[in-house]
Amino acid sequence: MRDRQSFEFALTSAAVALHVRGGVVTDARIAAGGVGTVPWRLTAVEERLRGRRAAEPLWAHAAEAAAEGARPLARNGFKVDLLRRTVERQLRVVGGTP
Amino acid sequence: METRPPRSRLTRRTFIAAASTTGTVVVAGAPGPTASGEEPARPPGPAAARGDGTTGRVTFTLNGRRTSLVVDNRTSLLDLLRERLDLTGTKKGCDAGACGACTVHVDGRRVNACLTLAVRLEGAEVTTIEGLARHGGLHPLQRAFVEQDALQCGFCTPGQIMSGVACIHEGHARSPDEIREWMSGNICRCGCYVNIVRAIGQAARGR
Amino acid sequence: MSSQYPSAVGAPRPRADGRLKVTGQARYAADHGPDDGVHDLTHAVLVDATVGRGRITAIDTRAALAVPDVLTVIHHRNAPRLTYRDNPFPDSINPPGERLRAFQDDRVRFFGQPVAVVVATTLEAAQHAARLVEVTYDAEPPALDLATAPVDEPVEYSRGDVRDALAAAPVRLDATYRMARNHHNAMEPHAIVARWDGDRLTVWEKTQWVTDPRNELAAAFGIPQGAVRCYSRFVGGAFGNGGRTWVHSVAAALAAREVGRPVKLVLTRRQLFFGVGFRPAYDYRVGMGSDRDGRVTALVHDIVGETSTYERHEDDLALARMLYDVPAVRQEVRLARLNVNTPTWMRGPGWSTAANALEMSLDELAHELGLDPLELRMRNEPADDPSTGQPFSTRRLRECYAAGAREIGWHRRRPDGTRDGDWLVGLGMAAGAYPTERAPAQAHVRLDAGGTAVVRSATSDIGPGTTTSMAQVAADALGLAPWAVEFRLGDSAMPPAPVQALAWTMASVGSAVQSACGDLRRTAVELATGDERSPLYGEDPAAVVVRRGWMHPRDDPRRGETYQQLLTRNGRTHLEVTGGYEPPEESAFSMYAYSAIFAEVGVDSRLGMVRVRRLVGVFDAGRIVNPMLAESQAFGGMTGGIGQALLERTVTDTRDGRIVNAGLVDYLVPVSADVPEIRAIYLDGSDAEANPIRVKGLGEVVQVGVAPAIANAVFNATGRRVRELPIAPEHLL
Repeated sequence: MRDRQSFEFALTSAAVALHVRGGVVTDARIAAGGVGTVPWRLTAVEERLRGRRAAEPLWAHAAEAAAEGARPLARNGFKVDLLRRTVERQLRVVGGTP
Repeated sequence: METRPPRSRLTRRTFIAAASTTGTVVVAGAPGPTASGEEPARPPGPAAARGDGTTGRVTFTLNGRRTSLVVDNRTSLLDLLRERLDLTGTKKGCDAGACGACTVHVDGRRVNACLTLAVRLEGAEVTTIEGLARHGGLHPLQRAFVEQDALQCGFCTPGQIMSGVACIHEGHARSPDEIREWMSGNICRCGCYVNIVRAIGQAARGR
Repeated sequence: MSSQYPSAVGAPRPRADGRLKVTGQARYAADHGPDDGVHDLTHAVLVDATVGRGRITAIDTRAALAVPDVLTVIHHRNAPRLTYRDNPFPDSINPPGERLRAFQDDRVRFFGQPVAVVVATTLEAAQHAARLVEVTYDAEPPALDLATAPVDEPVEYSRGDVRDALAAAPVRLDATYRMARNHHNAMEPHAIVARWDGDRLTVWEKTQWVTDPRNELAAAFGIPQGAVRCYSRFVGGAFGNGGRTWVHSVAAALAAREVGRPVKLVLTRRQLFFGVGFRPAYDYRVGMGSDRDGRVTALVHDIVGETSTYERHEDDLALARMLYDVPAVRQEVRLARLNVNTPTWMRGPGWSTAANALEMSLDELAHELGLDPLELRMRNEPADDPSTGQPFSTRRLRECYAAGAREIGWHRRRPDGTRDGDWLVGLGMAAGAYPTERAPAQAHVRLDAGGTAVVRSATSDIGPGTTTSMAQVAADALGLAPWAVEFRLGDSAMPPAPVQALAWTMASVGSAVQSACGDLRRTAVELATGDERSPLYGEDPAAVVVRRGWMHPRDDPRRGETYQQLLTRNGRTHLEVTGGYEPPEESAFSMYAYSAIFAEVGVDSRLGMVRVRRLVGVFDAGRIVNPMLAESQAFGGMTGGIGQALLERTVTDTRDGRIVNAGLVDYLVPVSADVPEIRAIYLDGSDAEANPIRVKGLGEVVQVGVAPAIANAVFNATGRRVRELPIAPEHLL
């Protein structure tokens, strides 16, 4: 997710790995970029994913937790919302839409 | 209010230490540059005569000619080309790897000469815009740039062409969208992208 | 015209200097060295102020001077006093005020102001030593905010009774648009090589006008203008920033004089954000009144723009006075005095800024009225220029609208946009105009006995292809093939030409070239018709034409002779003429070039990313001398508009005036992936009133209206009206 279409650091980015067995998320690893000085693992999102059915409305529900505990500065508050949306989008890309 | 800006913490010593950890071979104390083959003798870089570990000898192939000289360890490939070797076709647009104007080929791959320390080039094969075509002709991509008017001011053009040649060789020129993505590291402020994409497409098809 | 030899003007000729540019042989300012007689070159690096306002209380240069290979450090404590004669317009384009001087006092006027220059025999040493110069400041809080900074008295324009018209209007709109500061960021950084030979100074300078460094450096050093020679054959883009001569050029020439050796000074990309010009930011309030049919009855423009504390740069913001047929218009422009370097022209100067606000507000009005935005503009199209009452020389905006609507498929536009998967898709349009300007110019032509000609004028080629297009004009006027004519530029000793800006080079220099070459052709013809040995002896010179160097009676193409035969027989090595163009003081016509821009954008419905999918520009720019070069310029201007609309802004640290995104990593300009297929259409035509070449200028108008067309498309896609440029994802979440 970036202003320019290419050759730019991300405003927010999300890396998503899901283990899905029998339609259920058995394990998840989620990391976000562009929101800290290092890549940030989103354990709260992972927790919301584990053991749930890999389908809507899980993705939005899990992504809600993406910015838990985030403390934005004056001019990057939009990233809290943008991060949730980016994670949600990437969960859907990886997990699939119904 | 008295404000004293902090001094740069990057001293010469830490800089060389940093350079060494990236695999640089530092050869100290070699007197003056030597030229071999057809390469004409160049005026020595003033740092060259110093025997204090701040210089290094490097031998590499530049546009088909073996070149050996002593360089200041801080010298980028870009500054070496432009300020020591009078190869001014390679341009300095940002000196930070953000614009692509200094794109050259090192061992067949496109690199930003501004981010490449000259002392790292031991044994490397370097091609610049001056060495792209031999015998006074034009490379097919150079011709395509003229035919498609893929340039205006021309300042980014050598970098665009070096990058475009590599883009084609990499197999990243199979569609306009692919060319746009793989050429996005080369900024053209005159806004010739539409024609650059056409020129690279033309040259790629002609392979 | 002979059908055998079509005219050179109008033909899509590739660039005459294309080969030099694609092989790396074209030499830009910083490329000059031993081959140009520059020996023992030294390198200069500027030290920049790290406070936004205040005084320098101490400078410690000991560590810098201890660096091997460093020759000197020059600053206000040790610099010689410079003459700095006044150098006002038209000798320069310095705006009114006191210009910034190189190391003449202890005042810091903006963050990044040069406070010292280090000279060394190697670039590495100069760069290192520049970081070791310790400057101590007595800092004061800088003025940085448009909304709170002190402003000058407004410049006012008024016609009709705006108050009554607004009060009577059944539909009213009031909106403020904020436009970010844009930086030119030409790929070539500002650079200069300076060499003194006694009291004479030679510079290779990045400039849009070789006359300006000559005059400004002569003024600074108190020497005659003739003692300075400026060369600038190739310029790596400028977009307005190379019009005036900035303080670093004086610093470089001063350094060269102090060390007694030539000096090269190249600004870093970061320094370009502080030390040279930019397109000022604006807060632009539009008040508008309209009847229910969409006829605009009142327009109010309250504008605040940026300038520096020491100079008054004023953009021309007159677009709203002439674009639509509005009876009552009031405009007030105020300039805020900020601790920044003085802003300057940037592509489509003023007119692009005004179009952003006017054309976004018109889109709002169309939405309010439930009218098609294109139809709204048609309803306000004037018959004559409403600001002067003059007839337009040519104004074909309606044709531009029709062509653009057809090309983009405007009929597909839905009031609430359409959807394509995650993408909200919208169409938008905007109009623009730019005045057709002209200036005095001269050109010299020399026809050699070999049958080839060289034409020279002290203009520039910052990218439009002047070298190529002028040769085309000259070829037709001389009756030669274009390959037989070479056009040379970029030397202050050549016949004078105006700054290459304001899209007036072809109108001005082109007219001078045509005039000089026409005079030379007549001279040759008269020489032939008066020469008993010529087959043309006794012919009426007015009845003799020249095609591909062959002079013959118009009605008898077989009887004649070549320039070559004439000159050789008469023992002449060459003929030469200096000719000029002097525009009329006044014109009975209102003259503008026009643009109609259409954009299709996609906006990611959840993430707010905006992508331009298609862009169409239609231009009424008079005669097109070289369609290939003209198309490239349109692509460039429209690409610049994408940047203005979606990417380009600086962010200032309000504590000290530091621009925090001063580099190409963080100040985003469009890259290839941002630019879709663009369609540029020039209406076929010519403007007989404008100038002898019949052109209206195209280099500026191609960027006017692009950003608001994109912004209006974003509104159509999303229903979100962002009154700020650039539009970023954060505005659309």
